[in-house]
Amino acid sequence: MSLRRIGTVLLWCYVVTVFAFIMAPIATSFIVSFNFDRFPTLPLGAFSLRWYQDIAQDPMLPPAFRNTIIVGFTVSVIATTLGFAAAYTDYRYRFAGKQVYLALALLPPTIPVVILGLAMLIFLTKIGLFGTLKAIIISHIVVCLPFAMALIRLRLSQMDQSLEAAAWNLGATEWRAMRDVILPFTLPAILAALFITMAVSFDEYAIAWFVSGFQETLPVRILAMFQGQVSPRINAIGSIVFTITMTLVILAQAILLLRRPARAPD
Amino acid sequence: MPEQFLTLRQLEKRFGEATAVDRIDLTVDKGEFVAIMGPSGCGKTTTLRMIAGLETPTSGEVRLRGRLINEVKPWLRDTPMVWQSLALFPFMSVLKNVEFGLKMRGVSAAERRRRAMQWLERMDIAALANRDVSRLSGGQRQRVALARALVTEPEILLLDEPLSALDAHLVVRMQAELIRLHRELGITFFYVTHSQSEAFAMASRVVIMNQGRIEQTGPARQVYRTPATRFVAEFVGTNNILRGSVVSVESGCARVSTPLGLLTAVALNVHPGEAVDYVVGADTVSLAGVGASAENSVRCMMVSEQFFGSVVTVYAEAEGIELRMQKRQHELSAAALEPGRPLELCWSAQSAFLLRTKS
Repeated sequence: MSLRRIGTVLLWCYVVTVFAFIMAPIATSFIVSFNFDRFPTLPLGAFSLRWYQDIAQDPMLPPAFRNTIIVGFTVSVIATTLGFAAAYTDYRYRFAGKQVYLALALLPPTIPVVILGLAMLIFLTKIGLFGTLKAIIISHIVVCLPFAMALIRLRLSQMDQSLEAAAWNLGATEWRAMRDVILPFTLPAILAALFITMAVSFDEYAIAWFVSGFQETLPVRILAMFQGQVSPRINAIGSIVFTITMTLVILAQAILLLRRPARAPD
Repeated sequence: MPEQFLTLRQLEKRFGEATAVDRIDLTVDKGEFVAIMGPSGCGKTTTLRMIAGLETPTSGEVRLRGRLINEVKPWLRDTPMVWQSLALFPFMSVLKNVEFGLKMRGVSAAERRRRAMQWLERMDIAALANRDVSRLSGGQRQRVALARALVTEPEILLLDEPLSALDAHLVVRMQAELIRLHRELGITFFYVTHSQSEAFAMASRVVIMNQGRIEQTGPARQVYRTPATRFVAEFVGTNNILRGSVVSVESGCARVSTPLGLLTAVALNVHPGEAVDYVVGADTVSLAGVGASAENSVRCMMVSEQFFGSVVTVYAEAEGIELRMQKRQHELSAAALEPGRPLELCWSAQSAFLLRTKS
């Protein structure tokens, strides 16, 4: 075996190991969720859907799931709309303090969630929204907006600078150009932003935990369940949540990859 | 008397401290093919954008058919443009691109399809109507851009270096096509380019801009043969320019003292003692003994030669000054031309002229 070949093999081993480390806990959780036994041991016990049936009967889970869905949809639509507006402002206009504007818009994900959560808790309590779905929605919009903005901004940066002006030049008003040129061009990024923000909101528990009160979202409920007792039900819920989140993320990726940016003008 | 179609009066555009267009005056007649030419940053594109309404003039006037349009929004003018990048809408088919202007004007779907197809046929790309614009060749994209701009049947077409992205052989074909289109349509073409070959090949009038100002306007031949300023002389054609001063003027002929000795040129409005630039076109320079007239001759050293197809440019040097001679290849015998050998270049007094040095 040549040295080069050994190198390739080692590299492959490394890659497989890395992915094994990342995926092993999730895969374990998946497998164990179908295991009949209360405490997972090797060899595994009989195949069973008992934990899934168990969570289906938990009275606390359906409202939490419903909350998560409501929050997820609302947040994705509002955050994407605002994200588009912010990205377009950046694309179209030159103004004093633009760097500050951009920095502020992209700031939230860099703030530790505990601090953001606490700040949200204090603020939302003051304005009387603590413990409502609105509180969770507002908090999640803050967290999700930068993701939407970043995606749409990236797409706009791939757009020929003269495309919008070309539309005006051909008789399109600013609104018409927005509808007939800018929106169709950024559509892949908008769809991707909808899915990604929904996934982020779906996954977010720390801030939701701070501000939700009794209006628990699914991740918050899971956390509560986990704190009380270690039940294999966790594995079942984890598998469901993981599947939903990954589906959203993969959908977003697929949209971005399938609709490749148009060939740059030369 | 042709109608004054487009008038720019004392038109100025400043971006902060920088002046892009510096109070220019220009009148364009209906049906003219005008080319604005100049180096990048000379203000030619800004001028075009002000006509299209994409920039608002700082001061001065843009008038179309006598109507002041300085502040008219771009979508309310009918001044379609062919962009340097072409700016085709990448998510639309060829047909949809061409239909766009009609759609914005509220033309019915059937009617705009009919008119767009007419233009696609005229541009010889009807077969590509449903093709995605990203899957077109450079020449095809060019045609789509032209059809898209012309489909509303405007009275003026603005072109912003539309051929700069094309291969050389395609440029020549598209030039012929543009000339044909201009002749057939009889509308005004306002063409911005940095390429003198494009401007000279197509335009009935050439406008040379530099640093936001118009240096010279006139028919291509006139601008080429008698540049009005040193900038134009350097920018168009291949001119040899020498600094000098007028020694004497008699019977329309001036004797000028230059670093290469006393040379003669046509005298127009110059007086003895005046500082001038002595200009002689490289294509009017000959090898001594080949041309008949040799009122001026300079001994120099051949440096190199450069082929442009059928035309050869010979670079020579005398007293540290570069001289250029441009000849058709068959006019030069290869034997006499070898780098490092002495040459004698000559030209008639009639082919040289003087430009007053601005002081």
